[in-house]
Amino acid sequence: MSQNILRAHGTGGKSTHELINKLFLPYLKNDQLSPHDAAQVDWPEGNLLVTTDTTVVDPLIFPGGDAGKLSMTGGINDLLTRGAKPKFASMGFVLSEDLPFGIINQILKSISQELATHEIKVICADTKVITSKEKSTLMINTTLIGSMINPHFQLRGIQKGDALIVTGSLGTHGLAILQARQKLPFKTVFESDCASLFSLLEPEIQRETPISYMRDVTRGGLAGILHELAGQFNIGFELSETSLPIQPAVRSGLSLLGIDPLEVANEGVMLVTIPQDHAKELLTSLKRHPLGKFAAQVGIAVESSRTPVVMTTAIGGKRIITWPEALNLPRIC
Amino acid sequence: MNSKIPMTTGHSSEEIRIMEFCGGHTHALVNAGILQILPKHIKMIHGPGCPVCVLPANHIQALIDLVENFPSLTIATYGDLLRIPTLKGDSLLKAQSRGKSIRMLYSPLELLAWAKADPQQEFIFMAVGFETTAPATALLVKKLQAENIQNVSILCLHVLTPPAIEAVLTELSPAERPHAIIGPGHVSLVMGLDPYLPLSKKYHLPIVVSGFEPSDMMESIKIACDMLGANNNSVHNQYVRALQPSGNLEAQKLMKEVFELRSQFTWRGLGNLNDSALKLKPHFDSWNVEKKFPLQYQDVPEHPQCKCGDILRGKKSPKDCRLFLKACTPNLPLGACMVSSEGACHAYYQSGGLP
Repeated sequence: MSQNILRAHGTGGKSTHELINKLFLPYLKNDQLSPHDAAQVDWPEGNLLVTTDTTVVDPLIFPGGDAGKLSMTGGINDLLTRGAKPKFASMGFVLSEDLPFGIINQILKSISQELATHEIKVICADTKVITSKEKSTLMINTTLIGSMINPHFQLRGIQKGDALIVTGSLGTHGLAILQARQKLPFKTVFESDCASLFSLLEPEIQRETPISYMRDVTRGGLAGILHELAGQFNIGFELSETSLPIQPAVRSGLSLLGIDPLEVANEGVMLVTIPQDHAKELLTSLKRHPLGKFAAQVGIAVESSRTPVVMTTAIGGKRIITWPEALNLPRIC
Repeated sequence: MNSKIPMTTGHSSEEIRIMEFCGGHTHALVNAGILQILPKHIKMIHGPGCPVCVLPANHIQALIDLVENFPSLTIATYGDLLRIPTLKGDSLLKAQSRGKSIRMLYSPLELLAWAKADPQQEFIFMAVGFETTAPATALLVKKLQAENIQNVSILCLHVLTPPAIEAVLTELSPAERPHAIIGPGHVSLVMGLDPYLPLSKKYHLPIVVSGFEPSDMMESIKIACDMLGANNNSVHNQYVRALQPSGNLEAQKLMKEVFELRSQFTWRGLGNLNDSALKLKPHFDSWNVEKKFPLQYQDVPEHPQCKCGDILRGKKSPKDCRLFLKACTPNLPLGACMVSSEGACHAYYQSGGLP
C-alpha cells in the first residue's frame, strides 16, 4: 500500500477497498456500522436531534487539536446546545490526492478517541478522492444523531434581563489556527480551545439549571453570534469590555494583527443565557470544571434597538459592535 | 474623564482641534469610545496615516494587469491590500479567486523561504507602508542581495510621515487647521523625534508622540492641551516606556543603505507631494519591479461620490459622505478609507457611526 492518497483510491476498485479496510475501519468499526448501502438503527426514545457540520481547516493538525477532533467536538457541542447527547454518527471524508496516510491516521485516531469518550457509534461512512492544485487537504462531513439528555430540560429562549455567560476565554482558537497556518513567529505557541463541552454542561442539563438558551461561539465569534440571536429573539445585548475573558497573550497577539477578539472563532466556548438571579450560581458551578475556569458573565440581554449589540468600554465610553462583515485580514502595521 | 483629567488650557472656551495623524490612533479613539467622552470643545481631526488608504489604486491595478499577462508570477503583499477596489470593482482578492497566485504575508522575510523553496517561481512583493514597515523591506532587500536570491523583486511604495502632515497643514485653511498633532509612536520607534522638529517650529505646533492604548491617547490629548495652554510648541515623547528619542539607529541605517527619495509621489487624497516616498537605490535594480517588469499604469477613478480624499485631508468626517454605511461598507468598500481597519470610515463603521 502506498503512503499517500492516489487517484486510484477513489475509483471504487481494490485500492478503495484496501484504503477503507486498512486505514479507516480500524478506527471507526463497531457493531452498528452497516456493511450495506444504508444503515438501520433502533430508535425507541422520543425526539431525534440531528446536526451536520463540515470541517475544512488549514492546517489539518494544529496545536490543541486536529481536523478529526474538530469534526467531532463541533457536532457534539451543537447537539449540546439543544440539551442533547449524540448516539450515532454518519461521516463523509473527502481526501485530496497526495495526502499522507500518516496525517489521515492521526486524524482518525482523534475521531476514535472522541467516539469512545462520548459512546458514539458510526453507522455509515463514505470516502472520496479529489485532485487538488494546492497543498493536500482533507474535508470531513459529520452528521450526529442524538436524543435529549433530560426530557424535562427546556430552553425558553432569551428574554430581556437574562445574563450572558461565556464558558471560556475568547479568541484562542482563531489565533492558534492563524499562527499555525502562517507560522507567525510569536514566542507563545497558542493552543486551540477545541474541546467537547459535554462534561461541562451535561450536569447543568441533568439538574435542570434554568438556562434559557445556548449557542456554540464558533464562526463569526461572539459579535456574529449575538447579532444572529438579536434577530432571532428580537432582543438587544449590552456587553462590558472589562468582563470579557480574553487571555492577555491572546489579546496582544490579535491586537498585533489588527483582529478583533470578538470576531474570532472559538471551538470550545459556549454562550449560555440564564435569568440574572441564577447567573452567579451557574458561574460558580462552571468554574469548578477545568473547561469552565475562565467562565464569565460578559453582559446582559436588553430591549431590542437599531444597534442591537453595544459594549461599554473599559474607560466608560460606548462602542457599537457591528456584524463581522469582511474576511479577517491582518492589517499592515 | 471630564472630571478626572481636566483639560486645562488657555483656549478653554474656544474649540481645540487636535489631529491624530495615524489610523491606528483613530481606531483606538473610536474603539475605546474616547470621542464621545471628550469635552465638547476638543475636536479630533483624523489624519491620513493609513498606509492602505493613501495608496492610489492604480498601483494595484498595474500589478493585477501584470499577473494577468504573466500568469506564472506570484504577487505577495499585506492582508489589508487584498480588498482595495480597483477598476470595475476588481481587487487582488478577486484575482486570487480567478486562480491568480496572490499571497498574503505577515513579514517580508517570509519571501526568503518561499523563494528558496520554489526557485523556478518569480515573486513580486508589493511593499507598502510608512516608516514602520520600510525597515523590514530594506532588510529583505539586503538579504536577497547577500544570499543572491534573484526570483524576488520589490515594488517599493513606502511613504513618509512628515511630508503627509505638512501637506494636510498647508491644505487646510487656518480655521480648519489643527492646533496640535498626535504623532504615531511606532513611526518614531524607527525614526525618533527629530523628523517632527521642523514641522513643530514652522507651524508653531505642539506635537505629542503617543502610544496606542486608550490611556496613552487620553494622556496625549491632555498633554497637547497643556502644551497649548503653556504656548509650548515642541515635540513631546508620551511613549517613554518604549521610545528612545533617537529612534532605532540600526533601522535608519538600513533604510539609508537601501532607499532613496522619490522626487514626486502621488498620494490618494493628498495629490503629488515632493520627496514624500521611497524607492530602491539603483544599486538594487536587479530586485526592483519597476526595472524588471513592464508595469503599465492606467487611471483608476474614484467613485464620484466618495469623500476619501477630503477625509484624508482632514476636511470632512466619514459622516459627511453620502455613501458611508449605505453603499460603502467593509464588505463592499467603495473607497480606501473603508477598506483598511485603520481607515477613518472603517473605524466609524465599527462603532456604527457613533462618534
